[in-house]
Amino acid sequence: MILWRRIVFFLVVLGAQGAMGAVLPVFVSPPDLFLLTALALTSRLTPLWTLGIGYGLGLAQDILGAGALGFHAAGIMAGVLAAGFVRRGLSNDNSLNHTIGVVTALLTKWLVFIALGYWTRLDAMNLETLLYRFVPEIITTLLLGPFFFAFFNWAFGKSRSNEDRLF
Amino acid sequence: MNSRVGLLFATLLVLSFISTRFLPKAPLVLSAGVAPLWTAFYAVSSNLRGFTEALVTERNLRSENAELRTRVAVAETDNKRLSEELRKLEEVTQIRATISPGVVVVAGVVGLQFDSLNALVRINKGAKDGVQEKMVVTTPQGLVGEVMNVEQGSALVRTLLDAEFRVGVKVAKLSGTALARGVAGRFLRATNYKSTNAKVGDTVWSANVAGGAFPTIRVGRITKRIELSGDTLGLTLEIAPAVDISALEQVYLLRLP
Repeated sequence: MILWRRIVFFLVVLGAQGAMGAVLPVFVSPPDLFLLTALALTSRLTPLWTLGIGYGLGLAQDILGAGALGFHAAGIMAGVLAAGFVRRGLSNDNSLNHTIGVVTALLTKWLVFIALGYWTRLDAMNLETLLYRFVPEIITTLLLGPFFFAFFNWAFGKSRSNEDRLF
Repeated sequence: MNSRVGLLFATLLVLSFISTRFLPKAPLVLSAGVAPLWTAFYAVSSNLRGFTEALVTERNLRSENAELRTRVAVAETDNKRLSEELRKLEEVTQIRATISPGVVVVAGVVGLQFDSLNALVRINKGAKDGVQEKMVVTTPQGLVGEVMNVEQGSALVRTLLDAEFRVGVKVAKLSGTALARGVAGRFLRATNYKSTNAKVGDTVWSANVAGGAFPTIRVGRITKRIELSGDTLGLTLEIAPAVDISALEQVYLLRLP
């Protein structure tokens, strides 16, 4: 029962990430669904699993996008790890905490991107990229966040919040 | 526990630093695996976009219709004269095409890929249709970009809005060229343009694409002209592309020089 929902979830995420470019105008960065998926998947896991899943999903994005191997992998891994540490003491079913997690993850991801971009002498990594790509990406990702997490809960079942674990 | 996490994090991070710098890029064949899925979503979403656009425009259609009827009457008389002219021009085009066969491949656009850094377009023609890397991609409206990555049955095109894209540009009838680069999926910026006569609204043409000598292709229109006082290096120009990248349907690939 729950398995087909999970398959549908991953198919929709993959397809939507690919189709986003056609729906949104060119100058609007699409939301980072891979990062959101990693965040949602790791919200109930230990840091070791968080690292593995973050890296794996990022690597999948690198492979699907025919990009530099390890680029998104390192970014998403660092992003979800940082978000995990920040969200550790916060409740799971509060949209403010989701927002904090998403913002932390995106900031960390881009910090790693900047480091990797500098290291690989990437021309694309400059101030304008940050202004025109990073800022819209944060906005679109945050806007999509609540719907995405609701969709995730539909597919994977609602996660136990920290309050529940107390009992 | 925390030291193990730190160790794994550091290991994977170092691994990424090594792989991004020294490993080749991921082969396109893997991304081509999910291409059918993307194509399906792309078809649905572009139809959705067309549907909403149709809804918006329908409101204006009635008044436009009446006006158009009168115009049709005028146009029909012109039509006769123009079709005669067209026949002559078609002959000229045919001759030009046989003397300098520029277009090698006509390809359909099956997907767009705009992510954090890239502005790419996927086309449905690949190596088996004669597509090669660095081929110039264009439409009748203007330059689209260059082929970045080729697989058997498909290819990825780096569009002119991609931050890694470079093209030599010039303004018609003015001397001097400049190098323009894509700015984060928004516009192109040309720096150090020597001729100070360039003004906003001028059409910009390609001077040199993909390192080869190509016939000049329309790139776009100057939207902003920045002149720094006392600057001996010339103008900085912002250029809006002539082609709407997000609404592409068919593109033409030019032969490598």
